[in-house]
Amino acid sequence: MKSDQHVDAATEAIVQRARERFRKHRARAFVATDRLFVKIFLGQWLFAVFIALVFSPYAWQGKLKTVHPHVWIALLLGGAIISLPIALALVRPGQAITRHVIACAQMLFSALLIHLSGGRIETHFHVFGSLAFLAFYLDWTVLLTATVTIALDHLARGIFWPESVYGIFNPEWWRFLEHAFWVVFCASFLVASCLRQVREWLTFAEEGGMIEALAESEWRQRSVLERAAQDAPAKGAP
Amino acid sequence: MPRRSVASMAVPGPTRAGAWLIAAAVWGCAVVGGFAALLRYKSTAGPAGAAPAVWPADSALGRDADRATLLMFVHPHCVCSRASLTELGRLLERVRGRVAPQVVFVRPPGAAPGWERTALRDAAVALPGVTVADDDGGGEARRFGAATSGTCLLYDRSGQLLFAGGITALRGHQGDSFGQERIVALLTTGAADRRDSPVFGCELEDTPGKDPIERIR
Amino acid sequence: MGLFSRQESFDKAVVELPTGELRPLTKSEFEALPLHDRVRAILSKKLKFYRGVKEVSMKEALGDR
Repeated sequence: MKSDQHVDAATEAIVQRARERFRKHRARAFVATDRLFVKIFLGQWLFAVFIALVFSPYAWQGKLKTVHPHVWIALLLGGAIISLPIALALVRPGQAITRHVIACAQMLFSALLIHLSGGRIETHFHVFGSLAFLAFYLDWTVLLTATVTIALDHLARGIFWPESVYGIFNPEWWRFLEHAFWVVFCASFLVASCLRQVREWLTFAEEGGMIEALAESEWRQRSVLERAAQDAPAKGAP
Repeated sequence: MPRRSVASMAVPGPTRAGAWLIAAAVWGCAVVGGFAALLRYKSTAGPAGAAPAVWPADSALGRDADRATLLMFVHPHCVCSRASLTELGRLLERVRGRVAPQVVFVRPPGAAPGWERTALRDAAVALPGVTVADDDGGGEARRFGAATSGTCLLYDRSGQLLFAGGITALRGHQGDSFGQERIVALLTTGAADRRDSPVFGCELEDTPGKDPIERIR
Repeated sequence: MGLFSRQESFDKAVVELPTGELRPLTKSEFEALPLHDRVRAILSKKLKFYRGVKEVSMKEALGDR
């Protein structure tokens, strides 16, 4: 019975250590990706301001000019978008709320860049690149947050689209569904990849647990044999 | 006075959580407000002019007697009109040969010579089949009632106005628009649901003392 | 065995249940067991591994990855 208790205690300790290894491995990935996004956000913000200054520096009225609203929007709205995620990444790295806010903010920044570039098709690639970066978290729920953010952004713009006030029929109303399809297509592969990688990590952590159990088992056996060897001459002595 | 440990001076959990919630709410409001302001700016049309129903006889611009003529008035420095020119290129591909396009660059009174020579003008020159004209002093723009850069006026071969408006859906935004669809419909079927659309661009003439984006506020 | 195939360290595991019953498991079935059960079986030595009909040691079965 005492031996069973030892086995139970050892089992529990080994399993906990395996779970802790897995948890720490994931936490390291979360923290590292949070820090990566701090750099990405700052770089994107500078890029947005640069784009606005280079491509739309002034608004004109005849020959009079003022600073174009795009410059202020890039500076202020861009700065606002990245403020909370950066604060969370610095103060609460690795937390679930941090990476979800980062996912949301990254998609909002995609929307900002698309607006600043005048809806250029090429800027839409930022959305897909962002999904790939978010996949570094290996947390599929983060990709879900990103996808929902994009969907809500399109929905909101559809509601406030001036054409809905100015016209009756938009033959291309379904275009946003086409965009949504490609986002879901890309995200689904990334989700599958995330799940597979996390399973791999879990397997590695569990294999570590089994090897630890094996070592523990061999040590116990060696201990028993050594004690038996020590006892044997004493018993055999006259 | 007894000394307090650092741990006892830490902000308690619920207060910290509350602070983050407030920060998130403020952030949400700032971001939503920012996008709302951006969309409002982008969807606010420029001043609408009153285009003459018949081609002005005293205009120096050429009108095609065999097919419809499409005029686009552009401010040479208006960044939003880059999208208008891109859309003009797409439009001309769709209505191949049915229209004689002209892009008129407006140089307001008092602007220095050469002020209108910009990359935008070069882009217009590069459009196939497009005639580029310069409106020195803005007289033609006033004659045709064009107040905003990107204004498109479609006249039939007898000089009757068919359409007056813009061909972008948002300020500086490429992509489909009702304006373009209406012009295509007028040229191919002779009818459209409306004969106008909002024009998104810079004002062609300056009004001293008035902020260019005052209208948007 | 092909050029790039890898010989599995074991293809069958036999676990002794608390009732004394010996339950054979395929490699996949063994790996699908909760970690707690696998570790306990190893520590209590109520586990044997086989490759074909030949028994292999725990070290050989679990150590080679």
